[in-house]
Amino acid sequence: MSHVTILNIEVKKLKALKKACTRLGLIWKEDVKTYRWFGRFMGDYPLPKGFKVSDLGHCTHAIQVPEADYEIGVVVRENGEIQLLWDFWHAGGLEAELGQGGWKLEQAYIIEESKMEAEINGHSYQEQTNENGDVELYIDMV
Amino acid sequence: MPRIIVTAKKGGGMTIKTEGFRGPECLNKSKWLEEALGTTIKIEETAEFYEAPVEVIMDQEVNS
Repeated sequence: MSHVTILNIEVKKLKALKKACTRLGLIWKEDVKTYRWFGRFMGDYPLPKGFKVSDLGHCTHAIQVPEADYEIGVVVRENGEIQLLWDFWHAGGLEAELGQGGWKLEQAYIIEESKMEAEINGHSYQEQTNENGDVELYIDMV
Repeated sequence: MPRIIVTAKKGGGMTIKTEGFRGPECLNKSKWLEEALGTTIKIEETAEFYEAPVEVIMDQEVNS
């Protein structure tokens, strides 16, 4: 089955996304123009907004997720907007590795991007993982 | 010490909280981070938001 959708992560900086991948043990595949998915659009799920059937499986960079058969496609649009595409059909294994909606990647991205911005603005920080699974970043503003 | 606390939640979503800033100035103190992270942000206002800002007067020596 084909269930390609856009991950609900607002990615603004590829550098932070790469750091998030490293944090999770994912493999960044620079300039790899295809990502693994079911491979055929079956029409059983809406196309991702702004994409044609022929766009599916094509990307600017790809992210390999160890233990999963499918991959994530990183698409950089002409206007600079960055979108992440994945086929969340369970057989591909992505949701099993990254959580529903890819929340583990979102969480890693938020923390890595926040760290980067804190460093750029000259602030120190401490990171803490809570028992409930939330990750907190304390940015000192002196 | 004034600080910003970013919470990336298990299951998705995030919050940004400011601590140690008095009054509505806290909203501006985290703006750089909000802009970097995008729009899916919930800002939590702590009790300090409703306190009057403290005016800090600094003595400055001017050498002529």
